[in-house]
Amino acid sequence: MSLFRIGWKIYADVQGDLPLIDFIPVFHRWIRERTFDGPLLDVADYSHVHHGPGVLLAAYDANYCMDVGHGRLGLMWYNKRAREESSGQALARGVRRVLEVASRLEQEPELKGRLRFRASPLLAFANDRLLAPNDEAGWAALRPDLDAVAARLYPEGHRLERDAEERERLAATVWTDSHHTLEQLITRA
Amino acid sequence: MLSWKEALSDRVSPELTREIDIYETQIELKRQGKIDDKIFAETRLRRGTYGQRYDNGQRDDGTGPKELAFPDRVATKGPETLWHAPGMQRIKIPFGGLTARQLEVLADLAEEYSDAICHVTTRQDIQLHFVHIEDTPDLMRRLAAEGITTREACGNSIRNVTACPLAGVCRDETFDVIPYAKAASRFLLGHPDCQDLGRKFKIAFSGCAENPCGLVSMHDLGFIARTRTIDGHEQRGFETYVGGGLGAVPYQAKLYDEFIPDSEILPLAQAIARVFARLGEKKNRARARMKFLLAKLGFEEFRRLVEEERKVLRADPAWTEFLASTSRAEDAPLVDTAGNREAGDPSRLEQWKRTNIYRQRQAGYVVATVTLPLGDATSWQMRKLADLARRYCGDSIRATVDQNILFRWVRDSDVPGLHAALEEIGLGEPGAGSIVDITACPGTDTCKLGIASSRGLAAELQERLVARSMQLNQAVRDLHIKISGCFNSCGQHHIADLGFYGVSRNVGGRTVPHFQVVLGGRWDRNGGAYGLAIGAVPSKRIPDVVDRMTDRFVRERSKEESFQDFCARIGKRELKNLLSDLMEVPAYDQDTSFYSDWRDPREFTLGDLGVGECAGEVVSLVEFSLAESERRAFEAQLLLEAGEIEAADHMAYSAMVEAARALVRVQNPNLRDDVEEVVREFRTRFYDTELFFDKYAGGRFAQFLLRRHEETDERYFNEERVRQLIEEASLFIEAAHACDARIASRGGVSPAPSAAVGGASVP
Repeated sequence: MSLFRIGWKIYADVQGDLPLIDFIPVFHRWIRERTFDGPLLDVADYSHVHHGPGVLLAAYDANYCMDVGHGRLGLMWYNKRAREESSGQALARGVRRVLEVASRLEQEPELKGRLRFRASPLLAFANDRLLAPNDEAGWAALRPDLDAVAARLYPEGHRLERDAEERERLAATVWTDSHHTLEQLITRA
Repeated sequence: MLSWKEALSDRVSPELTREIDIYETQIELKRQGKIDDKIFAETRLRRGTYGQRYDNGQRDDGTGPKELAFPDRVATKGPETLWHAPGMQRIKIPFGGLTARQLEVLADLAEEYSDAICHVTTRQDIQLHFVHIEDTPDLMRRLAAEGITTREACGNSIRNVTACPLAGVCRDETFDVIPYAKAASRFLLGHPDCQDLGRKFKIAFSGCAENPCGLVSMHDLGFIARTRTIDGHEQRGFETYVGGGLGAVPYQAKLYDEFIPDSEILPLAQAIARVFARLGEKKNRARARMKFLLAKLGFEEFRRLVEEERKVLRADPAWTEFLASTSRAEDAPLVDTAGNREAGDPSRLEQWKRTNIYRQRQAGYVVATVTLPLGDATSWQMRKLADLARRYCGDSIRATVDQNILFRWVRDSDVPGLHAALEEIGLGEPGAGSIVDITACPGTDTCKLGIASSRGLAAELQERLVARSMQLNQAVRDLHIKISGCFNSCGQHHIADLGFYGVSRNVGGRTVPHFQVVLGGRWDRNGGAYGLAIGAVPSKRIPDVVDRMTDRFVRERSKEESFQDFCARIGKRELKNLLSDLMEVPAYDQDTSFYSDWRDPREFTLGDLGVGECAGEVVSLVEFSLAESERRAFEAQLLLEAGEIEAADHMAYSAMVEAARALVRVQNPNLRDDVEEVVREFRTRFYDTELFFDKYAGGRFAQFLLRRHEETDERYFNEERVRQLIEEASLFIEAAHACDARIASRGGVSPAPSAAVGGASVP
């Protein structure tokens, strides 16, 4: 089985006051409006938890959350169900999804003007300690696929920085020195 | 490594490996449509794999019920439970005892299979939500590698055995009850006499009568440590209570005996389980807990039956083997001093020490409470807690019934450093055991039975109370708030000073979330008294209820009067008067906010209420055993395909024995776990009497078993013969089903008394 438990996080900047619970009605509306393919199931409020998943939109095949991990607000997406795709394809699909959802969030009337996502850096992770352990071998296996996705996103160049904390899942930050917009990334993803 | 099964093969005991493999096969069989919904539901429930809200594939989005577009809306994993709907996994943690390594593995599982949150329950369990059933076998293997089983975490079984989290270090305890809780947990897990219960059964141990930790009064079976002196020798035992329980109709447990010697507690539990299995209600789920049996039989008759049952139990060395280790100190400091670490904010530290530090009876050591908001910790926090445990207390960690984590055996001198470290991971909040430390069940967040948002209300109250905690009067700070999403009381609202449980009211044709206000329950004295229901207040006005009640209490309290005494003194009528204006609901066109729940903008509805799985499915022992025999027949096919001829033969044979056993046990509940006896009894009761005979085939199917049982020729084990035997086993099982149906249609035989279910082993 190829690695399918893939995730991405795109970081956000907040202008003014934006409590996490303000995302709750947005996510509920998305469920009602069937905003994305596949069933969106429910909203979980974890805003009371320090540096946690914030407000989570649970879908059948993935979780979306306005995550505050490590104290940095961002949209996190991670896959939970296997598909007929390679891990490279899963990474590419994942980044498209997180970028599209971020762009959508920026446009939401309840949030508009208060939330802006950064096109760089991005956090990518493998959420599977069996198929992608956070060690040199796991990193060596993931890196080529991640490099390929990053090269498409940032044609002028990028660099990958692996999170070395071994107990945490295998994760890497994708950096670039050049300037990009979310829309540009979406067209390249 | 390609699978967790391979990766952990040397770290999981053969018994657990086999158990999880069987469960995985059952999942596969269910996927192929070869197991009945009801049986599979109870099968997964007994492994802690629960359904979750909306798993019937329907959700009200605030404008009406809508179908959730799962990829397949036909496949199910239980009645009205779609296969693809994620569910909850409950992880049983006996007496809440955890190690640092276990915290880490729980963190990993939450992250990979759930939503990166570990939730501590009111029974010292851990729960993960949004888990897909296909992930559960690996999840269980990873737990098993760290010594945790999820077996019997749900369903009609002996649930997690709870105990005082302070046991072993408590200043008031008579003796350390942990060895006893551990022994009970081990002895009853999977015990044949506990497999045919009509409902869940809860056991608790307490080290003393006065303090609340054990909450013995609300358990089916509760033990409070006692000693007595006979001929100059001190004897250990337990003041024993039976028939307590919360739920819609709370019952205080009755004193069964003032002193049950410690050597007798396991046989007593076994005898009670047998009586409960035999005579407990099996059809009406609402009346199936043991408290109702006790009420129906009367205490004296119940006791007589238990004593009779006790007399006929076959002696079991496990009843007393554990006693040899009980006098040894279970607990001791596990780490040397953690070394100097800078303290944080001194005023925060002082506040935290006031509420979160308990001085152990062992000089120089304390227990530190890590307050988890709503019982939640992130995966990252769990890993950091593991690090801190290794540094400050070793593996002496406990999950508590008030949804916190305790670090025991922390050196006095390490307290500032520990607090500073907890602050860094957002877990240094003071207020443990105070009004801000609110207990709440999952409610409408994830529970199929939830009526109102217990967690939404808890989060709201907590935020408000924390913001003004410094201004609160000490008498108010000491109060407890507990919230349940419905009358089933998982949030233990009956034993709180201020308890709330979710209800609803119809206002102008619309449903409005409310909470029934329950005042003056007693958390101390082991949950010694239940509160008074005062009336239902709209959910959005519950914060006003808290303010008004606490203000009045502070204003009119006489000297050191407790909140319970205050409520009793001013009386229910006055309490109701005090809150009566808060019970009113503004019209929808005046204020729509009352028509949705806390932190959920959808217009409120009861349409999402599902069928609860808490009660499990009522599956008779016969059905269960026949399902097991089918699984074995299936496994025999797999073994044959793998070329393991002899093993395939044994498996097919054991499938028939199991099916025969299922039938015989209905007539002979004391059937032993012995193949010779099973086959002999089957021959006498079902073959000789022709009860098993098919209308057309006569006794042919029965002969499949009888012939194989007599087979001794080794040449027998050839592929063709074994393939034939597997076919015969399938036919035998079908015939057993038919026989069971015929018996049932004739009015059946009275339900089987408690009986072995473990499965006869093939010699």
